[in-house]
Amino acid sequence: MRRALSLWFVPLAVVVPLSASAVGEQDGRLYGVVTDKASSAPLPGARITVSSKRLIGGPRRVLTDEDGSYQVGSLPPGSYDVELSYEGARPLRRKVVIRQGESFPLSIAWSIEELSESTKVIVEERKMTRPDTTQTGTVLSADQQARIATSRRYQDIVQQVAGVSGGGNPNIKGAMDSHNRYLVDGLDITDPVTNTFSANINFDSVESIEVMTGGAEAQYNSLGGTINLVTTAGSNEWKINASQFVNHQALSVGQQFGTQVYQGSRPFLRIARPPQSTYQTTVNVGGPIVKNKLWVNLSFEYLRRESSQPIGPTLGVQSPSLLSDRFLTRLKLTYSPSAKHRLTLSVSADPASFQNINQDNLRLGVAEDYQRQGGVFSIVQWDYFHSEKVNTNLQVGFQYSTVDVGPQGYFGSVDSSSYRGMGRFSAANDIYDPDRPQHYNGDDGTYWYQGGSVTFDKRYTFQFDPSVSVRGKWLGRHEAKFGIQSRVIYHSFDQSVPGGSSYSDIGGGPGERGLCLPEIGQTQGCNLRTDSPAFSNAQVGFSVGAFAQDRWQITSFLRINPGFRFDYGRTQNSLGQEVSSLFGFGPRIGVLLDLTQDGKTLFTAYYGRSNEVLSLLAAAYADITPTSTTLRWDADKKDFVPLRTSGGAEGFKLDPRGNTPHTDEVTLSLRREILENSVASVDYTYKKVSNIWDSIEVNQIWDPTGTRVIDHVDGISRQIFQYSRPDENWRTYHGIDFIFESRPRQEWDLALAYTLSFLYGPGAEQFAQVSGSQALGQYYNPRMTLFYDGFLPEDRRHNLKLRASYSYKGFLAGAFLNFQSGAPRTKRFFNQNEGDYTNRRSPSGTDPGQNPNDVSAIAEVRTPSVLTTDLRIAYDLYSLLQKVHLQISADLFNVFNLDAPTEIEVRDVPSYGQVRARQQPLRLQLGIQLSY
Amino acid sequence: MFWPLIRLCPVGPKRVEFLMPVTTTSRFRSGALVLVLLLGGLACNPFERRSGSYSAGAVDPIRFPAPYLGEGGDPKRPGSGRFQYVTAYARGLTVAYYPLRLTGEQAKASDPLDLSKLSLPLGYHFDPMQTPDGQDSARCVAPSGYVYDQEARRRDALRQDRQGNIFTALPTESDPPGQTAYVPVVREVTVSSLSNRCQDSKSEEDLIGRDDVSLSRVPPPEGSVGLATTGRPSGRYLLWILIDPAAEVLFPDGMLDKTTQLGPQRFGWFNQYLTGYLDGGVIPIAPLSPPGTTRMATQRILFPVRVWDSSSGQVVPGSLGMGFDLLEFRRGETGYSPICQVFSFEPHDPTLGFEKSIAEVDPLRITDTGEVVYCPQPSAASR
Repeated sequence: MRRALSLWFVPLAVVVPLSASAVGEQDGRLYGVVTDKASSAPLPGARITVSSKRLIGGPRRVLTDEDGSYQVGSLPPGSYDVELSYEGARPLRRKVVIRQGESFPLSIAWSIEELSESTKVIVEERKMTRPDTTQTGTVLSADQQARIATSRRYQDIVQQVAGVSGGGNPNIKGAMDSHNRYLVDGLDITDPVTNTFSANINFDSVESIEVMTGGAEAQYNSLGGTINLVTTAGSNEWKINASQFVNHQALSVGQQFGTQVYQGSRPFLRIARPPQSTYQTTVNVGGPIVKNKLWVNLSFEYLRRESSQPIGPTLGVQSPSLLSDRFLTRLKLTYSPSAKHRLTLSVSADPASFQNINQDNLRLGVAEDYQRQGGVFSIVQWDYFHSEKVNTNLQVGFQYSTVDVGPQGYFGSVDSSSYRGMGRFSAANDIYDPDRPQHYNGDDGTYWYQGGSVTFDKRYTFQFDPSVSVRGKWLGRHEAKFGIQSRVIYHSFDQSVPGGSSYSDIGGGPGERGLCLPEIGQTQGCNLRTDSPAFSNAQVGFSVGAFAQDRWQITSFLRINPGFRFDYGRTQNSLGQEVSSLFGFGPRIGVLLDLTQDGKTLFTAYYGRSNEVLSLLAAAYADITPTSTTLRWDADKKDFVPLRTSGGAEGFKLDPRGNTPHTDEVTLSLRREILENSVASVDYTYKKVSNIWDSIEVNQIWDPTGTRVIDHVDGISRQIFQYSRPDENWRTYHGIDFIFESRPRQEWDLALAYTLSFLYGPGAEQFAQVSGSQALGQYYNPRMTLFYDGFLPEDRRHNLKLRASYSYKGFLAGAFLNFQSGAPRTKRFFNQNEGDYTNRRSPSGTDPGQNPNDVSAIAEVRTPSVLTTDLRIAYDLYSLLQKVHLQISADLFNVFNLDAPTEIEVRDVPSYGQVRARQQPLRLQLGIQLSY
Repeated sequence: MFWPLIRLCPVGPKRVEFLMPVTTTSRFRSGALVLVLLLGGLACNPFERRSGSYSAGAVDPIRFPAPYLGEGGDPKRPGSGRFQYVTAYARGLTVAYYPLRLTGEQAKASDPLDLSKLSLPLGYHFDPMQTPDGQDSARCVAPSGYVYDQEARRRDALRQDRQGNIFTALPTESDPPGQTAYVPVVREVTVSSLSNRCQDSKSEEDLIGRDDVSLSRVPPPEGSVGLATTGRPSGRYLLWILIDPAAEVLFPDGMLDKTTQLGPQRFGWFNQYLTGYLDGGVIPIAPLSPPGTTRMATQRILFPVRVWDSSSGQVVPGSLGMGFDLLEFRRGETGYSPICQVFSFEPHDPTLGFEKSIAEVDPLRITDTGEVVYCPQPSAASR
């Protein structure tokens, strides 16, 4: 063992160039002890043979050690046959399901009686107590997801897991949506700039998703959670799978609700149902090019989606539809030249375009925006099974992605059909003029004439992750993993503002008539104008991390999982300045007690720290930009006069001080297998995310109320942002999950989770003051800082999730229910200086109440609770067609047609508190899936 | 005995609360300990951090009557209004004052100068005898090493080495508008600093309960409901005109203080909210007030009925606040009052110049308008 360790440490120590944030576990493992049932004595030399259609290179065989123990690692997730044989005896067979990233304990007490049997086949077993790890979360398999109605996006189904809330970029146990790591076949596809997911995957090509919500071991380094996808590989049989899913507004009951929270449907309103349709076509082909040697899997998906908000405040005009086209292509090759080697190549591409992306009833078609995105990513993996005790893994990956955003009229055509000729709006709204500036009307929050800035954004990632797993014995059994994780990232950015300027108008009244249009003598609403020249910049960064993680089984009932990781990351802006140079030490310690010493009752305790050493977002902001000038309307001069500047070479400062952004987490978990293939658990999580990145405005001096800028520290009227990681920028999460998961028989799948959680602190966002967010953060205006402490917008106090399905002779019924209590919101007030609703008068998650200037009137504000129930009914015609599975499905979303508001107006405008968005209404999706 | 005593709340100071002891079995104890640890942690409430006299931000002027919002003021848009002091002359010397007409019930009263008929709130005045006129007290305890510099100006809403005065009522518009009962006069309660941290006290309720300041207290009448102990008025009356604290306040020349970039307004506290006010100083009481009355003593302010308009090159009708007004006394002088009886006068030839002293005006050409206005002059310390 010691020799093996030293053998592998030498090359690793030399290689250390580079840390991504996670070597994702893509496989599972099988382990256990074979003993004599009568004497409990270990049985050495017994042969364990593991076979599966998922296993390239043929069955894997190991012998039990002198203490009867065995272990088979690197098993792709799926169903396996395990055969225990002893010379001169007939074999014993078991059938088990290995889940991604999990260990399956299979200890066998062998008796003479069993030896005398020819074979013994037991019903497929699923062990879900995870007796060797402190990690919380679960694995979502394609098999499970095929049984319920979903949006067929991997980002969305993550919501099924306890402790997960939010949207496509989820909030996992209180962390921000930019704190997760996304892995696809081992490639870290986390966006290098925004730290969100950066790629889409054909849903039917996903084999399983491990959603890790806490208790992470040292190979993972995420401030939030880790979403670890494994895609489908080929097999020794050719298989083809094709599907078509359709939904349309004709299959929906429509959404025509009042604007007040308490209002329901408007039965006498006669308006056309807004467009809402999705057409999703997928084809997947997989099989052997060379049996047991070379497998291929090829998948393709085309998605066409049209959706739009129903007519509502503020403009009361049907907004043009959001139209998206997405093409997802994926190739996976698996090659096993011998039993000792396995090579995997994955290549994906995901180009997509989105028209009219805002959908907020605050702008006409001419002011809508367009986005196109996509890219390609690829990873090569080499698994080398050196011996039963040592295997290595090398992952080399590359990703290129691009996001281009700008006015709809700049990239495509403008849809003005819903308002042209009405007479309500001027002709300027009918045709897109690329040189016309955008106007924002602060009186009603509407946008006019032009979309936002034109940006071209390109990101490149290179990843190199070698690791070695070593198993051995010393004061117990060890399974250790050591690795290096490295990432080099590059980002380039080009931006221009159509018309060169943007206007922030107020005081002229609502709508187009309130805009500042001096050219036609309309100046009542004139307030601010910002002139912004075009610019380009680029940033680069790299990180390197080294980790060591052990799973140390000291006795049959006690394990200690110690681990640690070191990470270093550096980023640099276009000027060659070092924006960040961060080091982090992440200790991990887990203690596992097998309370009943049978692997069925586990108590675990965990502490771990993760560090974020590499983020290009700070570097992207702390970079050279042109000097933007904000001008204020002078009513006497009837012209705009300079107010302040921002950007430019002196528009930012770097702060070399400050701790590395990090998360400290304590997890306590009690898990118990209470029925066959069923587990119940209670998990408590305390998490504190500290030193969150932010931009601090350091030059403006505000009046005592924080309403007007009255002076500047350097005497020059400009904004200067310092990029830092303040100690005061933190968020804290307490949560307790009650979970029950069960797959007692093949026909059933059941998962129930209830989470009670509290999330609070001042760390609501990152860089809001420079990202253009209307909800500026605590570091923009020091007079507002005192209000940035309270329950955070992602604080969902109660969350209940139920996934249940049953199948019988081709018939399938599945349901997913998700109840979330409301999310905190904070009322925003008009700020004279910003020309926008950026001020607060009460802490996060509250409004000042009906009686201003009385702290006892401050009231918590939350959106209403939301309950969604989705249902799938399907029938497989296999019994009629033979050899071919043809499943016809009907998915019902929001079965009870509930209409709870999901967003309300939070600005101090007349429509404050009114509903801005509601649940999608009851709708039907039809699908047909063919697999052969 | 089992003490479920731990309630960890990692926000703010560590907190340990002792609850009632409970007699339990050992099995229950272990389970309960885990549960209490879990739920104790879960019970954290970030709003509990805001205890004591914390700052609740700036006063929202949403219900202020228009005169207290400033010119062009909009209650929905704090800071949109502007107050500009105007130039006047007192015995040949230039002075600044802000003309504020009486409003609401006071304007309609038969004797608007009689304070006994008005409901006047208290105003807690820190160390008035030890502090220069028009300044905030510096006798409080400042943070160690505190320096009021550019960075402090950026960071702190108010100077942390001063203590702002405390108000007990805000201007409130009536419904329908125009009949507000608010009067910008407070009954002074003097507060002596002992060891109070600067700007720590922000409300009457907090101040009354403190033992690091000294003030005379008046308990509520026996048997009263809903009334609390208050400070005992000193007997002086102050003209403290509460305004939109975000409003811009300018000196007569349209300029601001070069150091603070603020005007002559001052800042104080109301009910934990930061508020701004125009300080007119002590209002003298007329020594010959009729029995049962407490009449404010006034000084005279005169304005010429004709003035020379240099921009048009013509003589135009004059009115109060055009920069040619004449006052009897400057602030700090005996006879000064921030309440003015308004007179007009017939000037000499406006094309040749204008009068800068009441003594230059022919008494026979003075006419009493019958109007009374507030005419606060900023203190010498305010600029």
